[in-house]
Amino acid sequence: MKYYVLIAALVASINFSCGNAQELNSNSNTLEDVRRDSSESIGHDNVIAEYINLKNALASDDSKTSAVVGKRLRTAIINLGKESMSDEQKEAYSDIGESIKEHAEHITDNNGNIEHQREHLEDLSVDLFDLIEIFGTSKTLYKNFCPMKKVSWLSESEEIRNPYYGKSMLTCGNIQEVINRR
Amino acid sequence: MRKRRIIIIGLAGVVAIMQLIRPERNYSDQVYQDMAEIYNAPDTIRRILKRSCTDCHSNNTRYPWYAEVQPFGWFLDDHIRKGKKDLNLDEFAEYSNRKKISKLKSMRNQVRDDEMPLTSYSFMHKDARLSDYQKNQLIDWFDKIRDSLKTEYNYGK
Repeated sequence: MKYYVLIAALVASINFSCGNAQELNSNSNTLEDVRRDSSESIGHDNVIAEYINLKNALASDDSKTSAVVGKRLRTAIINLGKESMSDEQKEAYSDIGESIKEHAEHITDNNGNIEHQREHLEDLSVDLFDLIEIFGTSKTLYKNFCPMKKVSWLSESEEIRNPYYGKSMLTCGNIQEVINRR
Repeated sequence: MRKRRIIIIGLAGVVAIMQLIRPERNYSDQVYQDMAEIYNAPDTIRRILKRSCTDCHSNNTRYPWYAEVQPFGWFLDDHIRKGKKDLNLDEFAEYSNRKKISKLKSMRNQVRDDEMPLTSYSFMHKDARLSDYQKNQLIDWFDKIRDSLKTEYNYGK
């Protein structure tokens, strides 16, 4: 009996220290999803695609989907780091990539708190503009401006769907710049 | 009856063994150019940072007595690890400009929303609680730095 309790305590303490490892393992599922879904496009396009999914989920007031897409975005940015890059890209990646990863993690961790997720989208959008400047995009994109928050976001179409407010102010905003594919 | 005694002795044994597993202390004797230093914070801000932030967001923690008692010490250690990972004021100078600018916004928003300092921390450290006046002082200071960094590095132009 005594040993039984001791073993239980040991197992409990091991679990305690391995919590992070389990969290990492569960990411491997989404890793495959991203590869399968976009086997033809390359790393930075996957990052852009997941960002677009994220801002669409936020525009639809869908915190849970945003959290899930945050995880996929994290995987996409990690995968981009495994590709070969020019020196300029490497330098940009080490800075922008780390930032995107961190924002993505916070968006996933804040499932249920959509306002907090939206706050992370603000700086995440700046990261995306800077990433595209260095890595390019295979699709035409639009840079939109939210006059209420004085921040921008990126979209795949000319239709304004404001991710910072969702349905409470969905069509508020204007196109600032067209980013051509290159 | 005998069974119960064994259980009690077993539990006492577990608690005793728990005391042997001690997390390493968050301590460094290095002198850092911390955030207050690099941005020349006024004394009021320095006091707030020291009282309410640096126990979990720096390389030196002032430990309370119950840190010696497990599992409380483990919980503290977990908080400090997470806190330092998200923001380390001693290492703020080493962050990239992008990270500095982004962290400053998170900091001001967390203070504004009463997410920081953590309730569990200010429950044990009454003096860590921020008054509305102190919150505004902090937020203004963070905003001022963020704005000047944004201009300097042409961030989000």
